[in-house]
Amino acid sequence: MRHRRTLRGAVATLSVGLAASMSGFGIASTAASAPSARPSANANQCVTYAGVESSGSLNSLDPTIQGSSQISIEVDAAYNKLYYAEPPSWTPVAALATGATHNTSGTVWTVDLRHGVHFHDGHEMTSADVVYTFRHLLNPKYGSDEAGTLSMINPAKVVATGRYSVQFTLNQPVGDFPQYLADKDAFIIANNATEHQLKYEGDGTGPFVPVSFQPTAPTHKFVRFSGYWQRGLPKAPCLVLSVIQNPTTQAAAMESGQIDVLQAADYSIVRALKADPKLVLDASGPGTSRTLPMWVDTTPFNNNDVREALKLVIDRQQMVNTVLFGYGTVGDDNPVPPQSSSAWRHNVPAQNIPEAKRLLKQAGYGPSHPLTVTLYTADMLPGAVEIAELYKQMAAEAGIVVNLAVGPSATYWSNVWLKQPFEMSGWNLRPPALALAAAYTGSNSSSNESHWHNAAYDKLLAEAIATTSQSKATALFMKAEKMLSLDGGEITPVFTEQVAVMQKSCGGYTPNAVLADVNWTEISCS
Amino acid sequence: MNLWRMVATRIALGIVTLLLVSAVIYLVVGVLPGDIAVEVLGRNSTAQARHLFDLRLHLNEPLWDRYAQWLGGFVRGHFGESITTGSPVRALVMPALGASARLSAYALVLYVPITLTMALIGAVWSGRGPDSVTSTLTLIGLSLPDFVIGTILIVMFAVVVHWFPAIAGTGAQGFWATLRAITLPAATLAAVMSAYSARMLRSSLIEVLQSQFIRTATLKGTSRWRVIFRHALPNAIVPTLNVTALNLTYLIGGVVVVEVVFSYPGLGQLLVNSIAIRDIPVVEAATLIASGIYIAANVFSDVVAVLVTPRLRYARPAR
Repeated sequence: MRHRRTLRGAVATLSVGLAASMSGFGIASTAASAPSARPSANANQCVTYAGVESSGSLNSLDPTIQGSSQISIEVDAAYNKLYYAEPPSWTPVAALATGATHNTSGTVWTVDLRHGVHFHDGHEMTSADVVYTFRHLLNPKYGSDEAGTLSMINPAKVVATGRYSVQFTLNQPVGDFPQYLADKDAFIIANNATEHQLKYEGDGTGPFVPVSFQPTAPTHKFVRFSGYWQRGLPKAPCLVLSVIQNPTTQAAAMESGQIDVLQAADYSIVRALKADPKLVLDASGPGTSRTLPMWVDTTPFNNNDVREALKLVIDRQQMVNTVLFGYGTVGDDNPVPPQSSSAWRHNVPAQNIPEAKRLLKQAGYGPSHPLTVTLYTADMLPGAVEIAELYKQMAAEAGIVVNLAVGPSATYWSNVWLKQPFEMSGWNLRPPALALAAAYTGSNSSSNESHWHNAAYDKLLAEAIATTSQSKATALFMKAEKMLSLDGGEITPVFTEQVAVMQKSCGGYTPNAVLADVNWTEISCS
Repeated sequence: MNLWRMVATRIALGIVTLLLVSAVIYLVVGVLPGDIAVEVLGRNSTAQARHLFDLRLHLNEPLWDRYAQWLGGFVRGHFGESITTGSPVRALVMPALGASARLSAYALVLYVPITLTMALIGAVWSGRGPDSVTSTLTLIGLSLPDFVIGTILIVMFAVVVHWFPAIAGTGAQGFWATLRAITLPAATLAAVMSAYSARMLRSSLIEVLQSQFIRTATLKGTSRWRVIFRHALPNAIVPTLNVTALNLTYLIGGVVVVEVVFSYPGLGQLLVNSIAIRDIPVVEAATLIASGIYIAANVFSDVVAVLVTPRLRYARPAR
């Protein structure tokens, strides 16, 4: 297995290295005569930006349904949220809001809105727009997948208490409500905006205005919103957004200068791009996780000795090095990366085959009667198949037989995920409160992929969400993380990092670990 | 008239084929595993939202009822609406078709001279130096998959010398900008198509050049190039025309890989994306267009074959 990994990495490096060295040679020899291959869009110094997730005809500017990270980053350009929260601290920062106050129990929150914020169509943002936003977002008719996460908001009890103030009466006490107002779908839309308007017009308060948006057009152009509420921003006069998924095309587009910023380079081309003096590479912190959920209520996973053994067989650092080419960090079997200040421990136990064998023996498995499991996977997330293959090899060292069931990626989420007791999955990085609740608790989550129903855990979480003391909340979240790491059914071997690539002539861009979040205001190219 | 009867029969058969194709597509996409609501609304969507989505798009109705409704609209000229976006299928398919057509037309413009030149060089200098060069080139073209050829062209002409952009779908405006943007993918397609047809044309040319009537023409004193263009080429070109018809269909449906390598938003990519999200009306429209072009290209090549070879006019039409 190690041989195959090495070989594969070597081939990728070799082929891209060849391209890079050829390019270096070519630049040296043709620098004087070669005309720039920049497309006409760059003549007026638009920032050309390539995302990595295609959504074809699903493309839309409607923040309610963000079917791909590409849709999300275009929504980021056109709209704003009341609050933004970014990793690693996840501290909510007020944007369209100026502040929020709550009653002592944390059940009634009043949000004050910023004055003088305008939509692209010219009207001023008021409480009417905000009330409409949350009623729209939580109306099941419009199908937002964040309805579950935001279930503490009662849409009927979101009311305007003034031109610039909105009151939320919640179904349960929440200590840090702005965190939920920073939710990935909670972009403020115009009062009475129709679905069609949201999809095609993108009339928000965001820094850029979409230009004749067409879902299937190869590029989507946005121009600077002159009435943007942050004075002097955005810096770029316009953006041209496209998607490049093929690694070779990504490398060619960056080395030929056709694209200014690539959101996340395929790991196989990172080394070659690093060698190009015209480019700057910037890796985000830990982002999307890769997980292997096991159903804790189903044999053999209902025995914690088995679960622990299945966790101990992994050499996590090797997984990061081989599958992610080093661009990742190890995980600790819970959704909070171990480097995070809110992680319950910062060192993940190393691979321990003897201990795994001991635990398996204790659970009644041995050489004559090996533990045999089927792991379902597909190429629905980068590395999902490779991680499963590597896992199979690592588990074999402890005598565990892992049968791989590799299926088509297109139907994985609808046909396999949540339907098999042991499978591959992955989650966008979220703040602890949302991550722990979204993925794992039985009561609120429709995506409880490890069948984790634990009353003590639910109680911890509810208490942590309700408390208004940040330090107390963190302590409670750590307890919950610990339960998952030691008892839970979720193996989280790695978190991936995004490696952004940009031309030296560009600045003001920081890659976000969350592929769906891009801050467009500071980016510019000369 | 044998020719007209052949054309009429082919068109009639073509319409039946299209109907069958439409039914098969509906059935196949309909029984594909997976849930449209999950694909569109995301894997975290609530069950209630998915149910409302199904109701709104009539996805809870039996497949045959939906097919009958779709067919009823289709024969009256309505392509219907995309399930996932609600926008008219026409608005999705037409730009993609236009993009594919532009790319294909350009590729064909490059394809004809490349094929002719390579084949003529190979046939005229058969067995000698120039023939070895062209034969090696066509062999390489045949053996390398199109995405490798595309990648080589990108490295040479976009990265090493910045003559053409690496990505074709840049939304370039204007005739020349568009032409420049799609030169590399068009050249890739032309290279792939030419390789086989050039070899084919070369062998049939060599065969024809050895026949009696060519010797007669040569002995009569007709110039070398007049013999080749006036007498040999029209007789040697028939099998190549059939290959060209097949190449045309490759251009319409099979260019997905090239479209991916160059990030070009053509019909192939639309089709793949639509199948992934079970957007049956879009899949139907794209497939029927591709099938229609396939049938038309075959009829066309048969007609041209008959026109350039008079003896076929009195034989049974080729199947």
